[in-house]
Amino acid sequence: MKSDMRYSLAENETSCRTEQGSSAMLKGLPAVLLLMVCFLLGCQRDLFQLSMSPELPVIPGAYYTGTDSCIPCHDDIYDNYNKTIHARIKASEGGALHGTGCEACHGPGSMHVQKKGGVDNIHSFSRLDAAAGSEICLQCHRGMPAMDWRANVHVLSGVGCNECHKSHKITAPKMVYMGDPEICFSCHQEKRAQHLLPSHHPLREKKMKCSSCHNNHGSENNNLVQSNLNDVCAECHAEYQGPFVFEHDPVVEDCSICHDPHGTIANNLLKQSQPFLCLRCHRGHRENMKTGPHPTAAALLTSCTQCHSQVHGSDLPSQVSGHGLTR
Amino acid sequence: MRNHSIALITSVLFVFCCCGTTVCAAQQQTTVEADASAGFHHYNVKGFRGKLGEYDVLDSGTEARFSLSGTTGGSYFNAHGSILDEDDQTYRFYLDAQRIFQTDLTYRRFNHFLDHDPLANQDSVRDFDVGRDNVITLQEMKAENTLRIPALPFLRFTADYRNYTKRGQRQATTVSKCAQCHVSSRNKRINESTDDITLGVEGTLGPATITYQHLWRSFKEDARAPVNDYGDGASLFTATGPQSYSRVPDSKTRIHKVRLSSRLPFASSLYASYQWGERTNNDTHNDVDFSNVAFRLSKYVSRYLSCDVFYNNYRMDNDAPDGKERDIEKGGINLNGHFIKRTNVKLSYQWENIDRDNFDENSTRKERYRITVNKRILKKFRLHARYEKTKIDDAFITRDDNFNTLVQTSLPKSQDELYISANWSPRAYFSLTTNLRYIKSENHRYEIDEDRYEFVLSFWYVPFEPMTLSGSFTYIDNQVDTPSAYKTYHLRDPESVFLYDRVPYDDRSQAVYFSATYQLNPRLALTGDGGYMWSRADFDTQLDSTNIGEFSDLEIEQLQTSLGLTYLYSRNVLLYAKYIYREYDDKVQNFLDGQFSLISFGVNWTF
Repeated sequence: MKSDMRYSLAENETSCRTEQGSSAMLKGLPAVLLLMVCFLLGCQRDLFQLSMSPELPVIPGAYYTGTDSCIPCHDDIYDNYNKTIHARIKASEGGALHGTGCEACHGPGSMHVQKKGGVDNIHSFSRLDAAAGSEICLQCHRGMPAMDWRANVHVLSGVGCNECHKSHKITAPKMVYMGDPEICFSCHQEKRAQHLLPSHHPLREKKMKCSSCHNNHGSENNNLVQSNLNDVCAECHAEYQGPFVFEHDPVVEDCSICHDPHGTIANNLLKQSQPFLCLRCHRGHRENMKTGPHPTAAALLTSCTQCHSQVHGSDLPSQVSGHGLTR
Repeated sequence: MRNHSIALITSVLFVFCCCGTTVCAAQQQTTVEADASAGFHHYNVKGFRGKLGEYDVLDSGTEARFSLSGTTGGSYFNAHGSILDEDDQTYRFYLDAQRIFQTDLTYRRFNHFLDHDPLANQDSVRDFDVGRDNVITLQEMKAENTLRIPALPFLRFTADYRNYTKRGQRQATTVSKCAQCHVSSRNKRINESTDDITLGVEGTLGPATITYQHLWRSFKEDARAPVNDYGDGASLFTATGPQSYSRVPDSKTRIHKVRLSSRLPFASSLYASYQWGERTNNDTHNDVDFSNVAFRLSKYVSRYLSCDVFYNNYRMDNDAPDGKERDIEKGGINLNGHFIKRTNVKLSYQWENIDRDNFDENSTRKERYRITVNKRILKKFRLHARYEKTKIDDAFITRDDNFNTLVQTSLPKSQDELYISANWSPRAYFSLTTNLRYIKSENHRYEIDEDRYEFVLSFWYVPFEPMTLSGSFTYIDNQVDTPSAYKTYHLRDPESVFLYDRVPYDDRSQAVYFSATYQLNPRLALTGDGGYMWSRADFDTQLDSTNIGEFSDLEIEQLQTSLGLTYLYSRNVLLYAKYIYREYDDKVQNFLDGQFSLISFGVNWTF
C-alpha cells in the first residue's frame, strides 16, 4: 500500500512539470484559465488527499490481504473476472490507491476473511448507495466519458454505475449489462415504444445505440446529449449542417423543433405530419378561388417539402424571393 | 474506397489473429476462445419492402458469424463479425497490448431504404424515376486508439479515425412553376463521405483530470447535383433553363475541446469544459465560428445534502450576410437532499437566455423549476415522482416576410410536466413497473394548447428458474390545438388574403411488447418475442370547403413476432433456428403495405 502511495505522489510531481509546457498549445483565455486551475490543483495534492471523496466508503479497521485470499470462496466469480479488462489493469496505471485485484473495488478484506464472509465488512455494491458505489469506480474512471458523473441525473436519482455495468462478467461491450439500448429501455420504456413507431432511428435493428447520441455519464448539455444537439445530428447528417447562404431558422436554432429523434408516426422523424407541422410556423398557400381550381388544395396542402425540398438550407436561390428553399 | 476499407479491415484482423494465435501457441499462460457459425436464411416478402425492413436487407442467402478472443501474458484481443449480406456486415476488433496500446476497430455497413413519394396529390408533376428504389448504403469505419507510455503513467494519448459514407440515391424534387411541370422529381445520386480525425491527450494531475481533443472533420459530396430545366420562367423567377438543384456543399470542421474534472477542498468537485471551433462551407466559403464554455461546481455539504451550480455559454458567429448568430447563456442550481429516511428529494432551477442576430425574435428567456422525489414507500415498493415547470418569454418565432403582423410559432410559453414512476417487486422473481407522464404546453399569446400523455406498464417474471417472461404496454397520446393561417395563392384576392383557422391535431400510439426465454433442458433453449404497434395521426381543418387534413391522415399497424431455438448437439456444436414474421399495414397509403417471413438456421462451432 505504501509503495502505491509513493507512486501516486511521484506521479503528481511529474504532472506539475509537464503541464506547464502544454499551455502554449492552446489559445483563448478560457483554455488558459482551465490550465491554470489544473496546475494549481495538481500542486495542492496534500490538501486534496485530506478532502478527497467524502462519499467514498471506508471499512474501519480493515487492511488489505490480497486477491489470493478471495479466490478460495469466490472462485467462480474470479474465473469470470479474470477475463475482464479489470483483471488486466496494472498498478502503474494509477487511479485506484490500493493497486489492482478484488480489493481495489471491494476495499480491504481482512475483516471479511476473518469473519468468513458477511456483507457489512466489505464493499458490497448492491448495498452501497449510488453515490458511494460510483465513487469507487471514479477512482480510476476519471476521464471521459465520466468526467461530469458526480452531478449526473442518473447518480442523483439513485442509479449508480453498478445498475448498468457488471464488472465481474462480460455480457456486452463496455460491460453494459444487457447491452445498449436494452439497458436504457429497461427504465426508459416510453423510449422503447417510440422506437417501435414507423419512423425511427435504427436502434431496434442494432445499427445504433443510445450512446451514439447521449453521454449517459453526464454532459453539460440538456438531456445528456453528447454535445450541442445540432452538432450531434451533424455527425451522421453532415449534409444538413451548412452553413448555407439561405438558411431555415429552426434548423440553425434546434433540430428538435421539428424532429423527435426517438421515433414518430410521421415520416422522417417529424413531430407531426406535413403540412400541419409547417403550418404551425408558416402560412399555407390558399387556393385562389378567382383563378379557378388550379392548382388544387391537395397539391398545395399535402406535403410542403415536395416544393420546398431544401428545407434544411440551400446555397441556391429559389425562384421568387430567393429564400423559398425550393432548389 | 469501400473495397479499400474492407480490405484494410480484413488485413488488420488477419494479421492480429495470426499474431494472437502464434503468440498463444508459444507461451504458457494463454487462453483462446473461438467460435464460428454458418447458416442460411430465407425471406418471403410480399408487398412493399421499404417499410418492413427499412434498415434490413431482405434478401435470402447465407450468413456467417465468428468470434475470437484470447489473452496472452498481459495482452488481450477480441474479434467478432457478422455477415448477413454483402450490405449488412459488422466487424469489431479489439486489442489491448500489455495495457500500453489499445485499439478498437469497428466496421459496419447497412442499407437504408427510403420512400419514393408518388406525388399523387399533384396535378402537374413529372417524375423521371417512377418506381425506382431509393436505397442508401451506409458504411462506417472507426479506429479508436489509446497509447499509455509506462514512463508517463499520468498521461494517455488518443488518436481516433472515423470514416462515414453514404452511397446510393434518394428522391429530389423541385418546383419550376408555370414554365414546366410544377413539380419535377429525380433520383439524386448520393456519394457522401465524412472523415473525422481526433487527436487527444488525457492527463491526471493529483486530484484533477484534464483532457484535450482536436477534431478535424471533412465532409464531401462527390456526386453531381441533379439538373432541372426551369424553362423560360416567369417575370419574377430567377432560375431559368437547365439549372442544378438540391446541391450539397462540401464543408470542413475543426473543434478543440478542453475538459477538466477535479476534486476541490471542502468536499467539493469541479467539472469545466471549453470548446471552440469553426465550420466552413467549401463552396461559398461562409464560415461559422462557435465556442462553448461550461462549468459545474458540486458540493457535498453533508451526508444529507449535496448541491451543484452550473453555467454554460454557447456562442455562434456566422460571417455570411444575414447569417444566423446565437449567444446562449444558461445556468442553474440543483439541491439533492436525504433528510428523511428512504427518501431523496431533488430541487432544480435552471435559467437560459438566448440572444440571436438575424432571427425574427432576438431574445428568449427560459426558466425551469423542477422537484424530484424518490421514495421507497415499502420495502418492495419504490416511487419516483417529478414535477417540472418551464416558463418561456418570447419563444422562437417565424414572422411572415411580407406581413410583419403575422407571427407564428410551434413553441410554448409555459410547460408543466408531471412524471410518476412506481416499481413493485414483491418477490425476487416478479417485478411490476408503471410510468405516467403528462405534459401540458401552452402559449396564450399565439393560442397554442398541447397535451401529451404517456403511460407504460411493464412486468418481469420468472415463474421458474429456466423461464423468464417480460412484457410492456405503452400508450402515447399527443393532442395539439393551434391556429393556422393561409395566404391566397398568387395574391390576387386582396379581400381574403388570409384565412385563419384553428387546427386540432391528435396523434396516438399503442404498443404491446412481450418476450419469453425458456431453457427446456441443458441442451434445448427457446426464445420468443412479439410486438404490436398501432399508431394514428390526423387533423381536420376546412379550407374553402375542403378538409385538407384528409390528405395527410396516418394510420399504421405493425406486427412482429419471432421464435428462436438453440440446441446443444455436442460440446462443440450448437444448432440454431429462427423464425420471424413482420407485417406493416398502412391503412391510408395501401401501397406501403407489406409482410415478410424469415426462416434461418445454422450451426455454431466452438473451437
